[in-house]
Amino acid sequence: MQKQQQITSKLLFRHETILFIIMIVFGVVVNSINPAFLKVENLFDILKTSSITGMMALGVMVVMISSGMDISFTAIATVSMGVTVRMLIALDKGNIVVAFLVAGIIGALLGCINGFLVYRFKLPTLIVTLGTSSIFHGLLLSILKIPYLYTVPGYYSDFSRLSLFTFTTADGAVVGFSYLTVLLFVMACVVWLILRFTMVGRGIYAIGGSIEAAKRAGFNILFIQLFIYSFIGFVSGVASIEYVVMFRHVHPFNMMNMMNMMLNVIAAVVLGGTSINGGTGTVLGTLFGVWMIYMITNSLILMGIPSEWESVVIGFILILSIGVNAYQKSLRKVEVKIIES
Amino acid sequence: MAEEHCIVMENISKSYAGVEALDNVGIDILKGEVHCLIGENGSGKSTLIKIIAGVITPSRGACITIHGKNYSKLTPVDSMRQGIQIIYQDLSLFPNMTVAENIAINQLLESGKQTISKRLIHEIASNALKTICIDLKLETLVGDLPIAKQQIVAISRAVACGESLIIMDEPTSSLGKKDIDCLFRIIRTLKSNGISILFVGHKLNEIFEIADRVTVLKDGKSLGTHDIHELTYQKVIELMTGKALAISNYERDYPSAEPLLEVRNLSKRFQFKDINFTLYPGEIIGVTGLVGSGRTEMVSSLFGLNPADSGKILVNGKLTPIRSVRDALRAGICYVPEDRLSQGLFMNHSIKNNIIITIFHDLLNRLGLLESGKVKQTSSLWVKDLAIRTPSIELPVKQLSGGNQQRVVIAKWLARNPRILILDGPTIGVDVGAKEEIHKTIRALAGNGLGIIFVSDEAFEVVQHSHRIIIMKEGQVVEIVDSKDVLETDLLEKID
Repeated sequence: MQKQQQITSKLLFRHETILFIIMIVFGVVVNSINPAFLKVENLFDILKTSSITGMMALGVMVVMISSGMDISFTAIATVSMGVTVRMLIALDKGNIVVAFLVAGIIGALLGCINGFLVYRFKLPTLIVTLGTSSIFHGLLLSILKIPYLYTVPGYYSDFSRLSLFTFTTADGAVVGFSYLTVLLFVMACVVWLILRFTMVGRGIYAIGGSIEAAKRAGFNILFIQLFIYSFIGFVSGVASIEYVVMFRHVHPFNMMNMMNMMLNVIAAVVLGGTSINGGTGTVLGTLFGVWMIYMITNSLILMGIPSEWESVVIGFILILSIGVNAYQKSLRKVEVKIIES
Repeated sequence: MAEEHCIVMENISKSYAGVEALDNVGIDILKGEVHCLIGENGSGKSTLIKIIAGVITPSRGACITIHGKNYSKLTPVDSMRQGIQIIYQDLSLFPNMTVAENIAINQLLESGKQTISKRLIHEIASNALKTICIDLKLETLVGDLPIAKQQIVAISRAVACGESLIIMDEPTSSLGKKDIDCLFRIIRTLKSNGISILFVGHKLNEIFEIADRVTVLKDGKSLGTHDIHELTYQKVIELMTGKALAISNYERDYPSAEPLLEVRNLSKRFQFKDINFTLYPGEIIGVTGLVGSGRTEMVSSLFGLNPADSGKILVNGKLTPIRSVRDALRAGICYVPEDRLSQGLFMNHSIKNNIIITIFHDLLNRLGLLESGKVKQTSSLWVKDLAIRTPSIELPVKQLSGGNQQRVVIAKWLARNPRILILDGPTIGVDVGAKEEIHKTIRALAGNGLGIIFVSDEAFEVVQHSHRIIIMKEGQVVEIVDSKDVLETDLLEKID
């Protein structure tokens, strides 16, 4: 009985559980205002449109667990998107798988530069990535001279229509479960496995807890840092192709759009319970955070609230969730003290 | 004979920029012994343990033998392979990970495994905890544990790696009495399992309790390894400081004057209750008790930092309510806090500025600016008076040694010409030689007619340097004893 209670209270304590309950309550409330909200097609749509943010959020989460911050991921995405699409058009061959792989590799290489700089010069990660972000994007415009591409090869849009399964709803609409969502689920599983069952994963948490202790314990810090930053580069590259799949154009200047994306991604990760001080964070929490953000923006549209309010709301969520995070931490400290005494 | 040795080090020297940090030092550690390494700050203790860890390479000619294998220098990997682990003062744990993960991680890294499972981690951790006979919840986050338990985790981690030599760098510096006892129990268990311990410390009573043999370092030279039975307190202090100290109990020689401070039924909810005592001019009252006995709360209420709920305070026979630091200062009471680094000093500022901070109002000229002549004069005076060793009063305080820093704090308050001085743990974190200097200062101040309240958890110190001793427990005064009538060991019993 007591054990049962302990497990329940432990579960209730978890950030993911709280977030899940909030999601359900939120869904029910919005649905009572606009019954379109909880329809399967809308939910599948949320899953599909959130997959780009989700992909990048996985990368940001890994960086944040190691108590770093990467704000160059949108620049990396812009560069790998431009280079990959342009190159495959110039070569006049390729398919969607090649596109994903090439963009992922370009992203990983750029991320590697970040990782090396962070390790070698022990600089604040925020500043390093702010610098490289500007360098990467500047080089894209000055040397590579990637132009606007308003048309892209057909395999991108083909992939966007591809679904794992489809079904017809009562009112005759065909609803599909997008491969973009599948891609996010696969990547989430991979990250979960790495974080939970490999020494590299433990190393990422260890660095986030105390880099000095990680060094003394004998972790290979260089390797782990390179892994972390090339991983976020890789998912940014993959996410950039998802962007092409969904929006069918390449826009080398759309940093503004990307800034918005950055806000969404970071807000989602923090909302998902990853500590900005490093050391904690889970894949499930991050996914919940991403979906929560998209549920909110989606509901704003459904409720007819002007889209300008979106960034205001997300900004609030970002600050609020950091506050809640800190509060939960202080609660747990008290709880542990009570148990100890 | 060689079989019994865990590690033998000979001819160990190391110099930094021409300064000899270690000069031809030798140390040998037997299997399953507790070997203490003691010395004042800067005597080369940490350089020596870093050489054992392979972090620092010794100068040429060094000869290190571990388990019969010879090295002229060690790398961190050699050291780890040979089963040596250091538990640093900061413990090097991961606060965001569980107890089990923290214990198992080094072993997992050493075994070169790439993948892990929770079951394996739990198995390693619970075996290690079983070895040292300690029960800890494996799934608790280490950051949530109190420091004493964290230390146990760090020790278990070393045990999990199957280490043969565990080096503990001042392990008791942040522990209370009970936790120290627990640590010592663990050390004895480790010893019985054939694990050697190199215990680096400076608290003498602990060394006499736990050590089998002691190596004393002074100014980078070894003063030999001694069996603990051959040593006495006096002998160790003489070795460490290099001078024979005449330790004598402080004689009661104050005139029977009017009381300076009378405390009547002072109480504060949840902190202390019914405190009564009287302080005479020229008297030193020691206040002792465990951490959490309310001693710090009580004395800080006399300084208005933590005003009491009820009770009376009389200064010079006059009822003086103390509700703020201002009230206390006006009544001539000054307080030197326990944590001089965070509460007492501006570390990056000069000695001069730190000393005059309490009186800078008196040093202003007509334009409201500081008069630099007066500032220099006043601070130089105190530097001389308290024998603060520094080449210049312009030096930032952080460059001074612990003992000298403590004297700057005292100078800062003395500059106000107080009549009552409260010192909370004035010798914490100060090495033996500097401690003596501080004691001398305190005695000299009492000689000048100041009333001094002196909080300390070292019974030895309290007995020797105060007239009367207030023993506190759970917020109440257990007893007020005359230091002439009490032995240190009795005092320890009364505290617990």
